[in-house]
Amino acid sequence: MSQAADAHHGHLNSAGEHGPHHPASYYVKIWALLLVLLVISIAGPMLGNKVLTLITAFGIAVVKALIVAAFFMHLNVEKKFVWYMLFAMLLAVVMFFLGTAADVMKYDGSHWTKPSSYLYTEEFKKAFSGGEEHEGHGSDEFDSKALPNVPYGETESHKAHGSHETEGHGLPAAEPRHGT
Amino acid sequence: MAMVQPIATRRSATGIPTGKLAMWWLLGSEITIFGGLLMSYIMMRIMYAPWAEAAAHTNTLAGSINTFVLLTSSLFAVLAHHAAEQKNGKLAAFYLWLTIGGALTFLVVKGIEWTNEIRHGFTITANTFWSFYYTAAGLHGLHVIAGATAMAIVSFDCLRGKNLQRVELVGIYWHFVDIVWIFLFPLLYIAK
Repeated sequence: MSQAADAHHGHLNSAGEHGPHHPASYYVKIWALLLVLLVISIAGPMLGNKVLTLITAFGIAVVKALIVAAFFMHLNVEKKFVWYMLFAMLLAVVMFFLGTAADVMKYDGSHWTKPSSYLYTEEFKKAFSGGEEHEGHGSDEFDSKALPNVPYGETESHKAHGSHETEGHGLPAAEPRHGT
Repeated sequence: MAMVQPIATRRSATGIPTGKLAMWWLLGSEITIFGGLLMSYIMMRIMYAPWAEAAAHTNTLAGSINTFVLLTSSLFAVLAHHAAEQKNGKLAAFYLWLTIGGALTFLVVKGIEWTNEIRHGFTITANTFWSFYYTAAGLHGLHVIAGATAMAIVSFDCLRGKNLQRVELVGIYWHFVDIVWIFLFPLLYIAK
């Protein structure tokens, strides 16, 4: 047996046998189904319903991804080991999300605040709404130059207080986001 | 000819061919890379309403065309695998080149789209949304280039009927690139 022929055993599936041999038309049908789902995901937002848009956009994205993974990547006949490994990686991503979301997805807490977040939101709003600083800009117009580029820790309020650590006192005088 | 035993063709612990096992581990690491990127985007998108306004300026038509192109190229990739399983190296190479054609089309559309956006002032330094946009789509674009390059190399072996098992491996990689785009598409182009 040649090396190439032996290596061809790579096509053996998890059961140690050759995987299901579908005709080419089988894959064309799956592709057609994916295109139908693509059309639905594009048409979804046209109905103007936000919840429906989320479902048609992200729900269908998950379905499309699963179809590609199962039938094109042949995960439907792959060994369980691969599933476990991929799910472990997805779990790592979820842990990353949970670990950082508690901080990133909050503007303030009992003894801390993120003034640059307020500034960012406020300035961004001005860039779009065409405030006093940007006369002549319609609400639909976008002025990228009006957008701030202020990293955390370098806002005016930070400079005034000299430190990002507020320790429960001397909180930067930033407007709450709800009021902006 | 003496029997040649391939080195580590299979792993005894998993029963999965070594090449394929390596590809799955590579994709496992890619999940954390793109997963982290997408999770960051979702957090920022929820936190900062202005991101929705910035996202409204992305070109849905270009995104839709590219989604169609990648889905179709995935079909060609799996057909290449199908041909390789039947030991038809020339047909496998043909489908791989069609897949590469899809990759090039994707890059051309992306180039036109980006040129238009940059002309309108939406550069990578415009704000954090556009920074993310170019970083995520750019990283994905690099994967498209890498996949197309790998497929081109494999296709030349296919023409000579060699290493046909590699068609499946580059195919798995390509489908993953497709899946990443499947998630980038609604995030960047649909949810406005």
